Amino acid sequence: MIQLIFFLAIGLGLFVALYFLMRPAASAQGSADELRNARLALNALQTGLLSGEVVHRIFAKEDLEYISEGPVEIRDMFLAERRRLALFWVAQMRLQILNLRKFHLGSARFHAGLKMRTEVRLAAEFLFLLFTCRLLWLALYLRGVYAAPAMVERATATAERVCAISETSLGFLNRSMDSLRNESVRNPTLS
Amino acid sequence: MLTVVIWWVGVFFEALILIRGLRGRTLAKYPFFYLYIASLFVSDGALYVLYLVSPTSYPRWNWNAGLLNILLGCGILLETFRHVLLPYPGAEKFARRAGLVVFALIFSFLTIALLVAPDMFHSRLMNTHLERNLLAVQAIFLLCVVAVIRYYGIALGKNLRGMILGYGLCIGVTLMAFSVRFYAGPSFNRIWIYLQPLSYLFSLWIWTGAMWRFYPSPLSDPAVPLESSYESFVLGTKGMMGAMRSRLTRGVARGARP
Repeated sequence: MIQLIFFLAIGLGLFVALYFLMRPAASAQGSADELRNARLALNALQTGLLSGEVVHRIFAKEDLEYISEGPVEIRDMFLAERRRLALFWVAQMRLQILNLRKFHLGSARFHAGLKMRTEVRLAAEFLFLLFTCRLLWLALYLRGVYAAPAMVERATATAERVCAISETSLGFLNRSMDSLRNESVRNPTLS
Repeated sequence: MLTVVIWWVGVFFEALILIRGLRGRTLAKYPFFYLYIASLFVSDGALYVLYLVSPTSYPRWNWNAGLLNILLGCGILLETFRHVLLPYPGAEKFARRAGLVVFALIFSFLTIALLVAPDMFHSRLMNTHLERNLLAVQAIFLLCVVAVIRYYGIALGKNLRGMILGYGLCIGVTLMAFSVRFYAGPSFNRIWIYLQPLSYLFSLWIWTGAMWRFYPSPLSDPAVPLESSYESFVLGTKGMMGAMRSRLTRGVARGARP
């Protein structure tokens, strides 16, 4: 029986893989345009979505305190709006992570020095990150933005530090963009 | 009677694929695939003659031809490497490593089986075991290749897409039917004698359509000038991921608290 399940599972796994292969997919192009888009997306993440100011404003408790002085209906409306905003923010974060993964795969496939173990580890980390996004989305959806005040404090405190780390880590992209810019000057069809 | 009709329809499709390969000049582009089809064509024709002339020796030759065709089926995987993965050294390296492990498994398995029990190769039970296990190894290998193609977002041309789909369906159905037949016993034979040839016919039909003429695999632009070192490139990705992770995980940890 175990053997039967094992071989049936292999067959089914193959069918699932073939199904995904036949589905049209946005291929990770790794082209100049893709690199530019990836850079823009990561810029958005760095300067917008991860900025301490934006995070602080989304989760600002002062706003709630001010609104709470008024009628309950307005307070409820405010809470609903803030939750929608926070959920949108998490969704955008997720989208940018997907962009980063797309950029990584689009470029890594051309690297002859690619390491299987590193790629498998990275794939697992990307999955974990995307899962975390989903979890955060769920937490915000179920508990609301102000259900966890500590989260807001931590978010604002770490935002700036995160941006600093991002700046360093994006160095490789900046260098790529510089090379690309030089290439565009030599070959205007690239831009 | 129906099985004989299916048999001849199969031979017709195989001949059609070979003729289209010659006329459409795809034969030179995918020699390993056509070698596999030619082997199927010759073995199906010869086995039919043998079936009429000497029915007693048919099962043994049928099994030998089946084993040869399973091994030649690896040609489809070779074509995938040559046409799809070679332009992408990173993805190719990944799939090659996975493939080497699987090939090593196939040949180790065959060698050990031949050394340990050469006589058992002609027992009906052993033959079924061996055929099923070889199909399973090929299915796992194909699964790895498809996963790499999909994961790295590599675009496939119509020829390669059809080749992989047809072969994948054929070995997937055969493997599953083999396993159920092994478990259920002779009662499954009534389904088996139609299911396996029909799935094979379906694959031939897919191949005929996909290989009608040559469709090159679309190529992405060559890599834009990136860091020469893979390590520094990975470090960049990891740094960015680490930043996002610390931000999100702490958020979740705090958010989950009452």
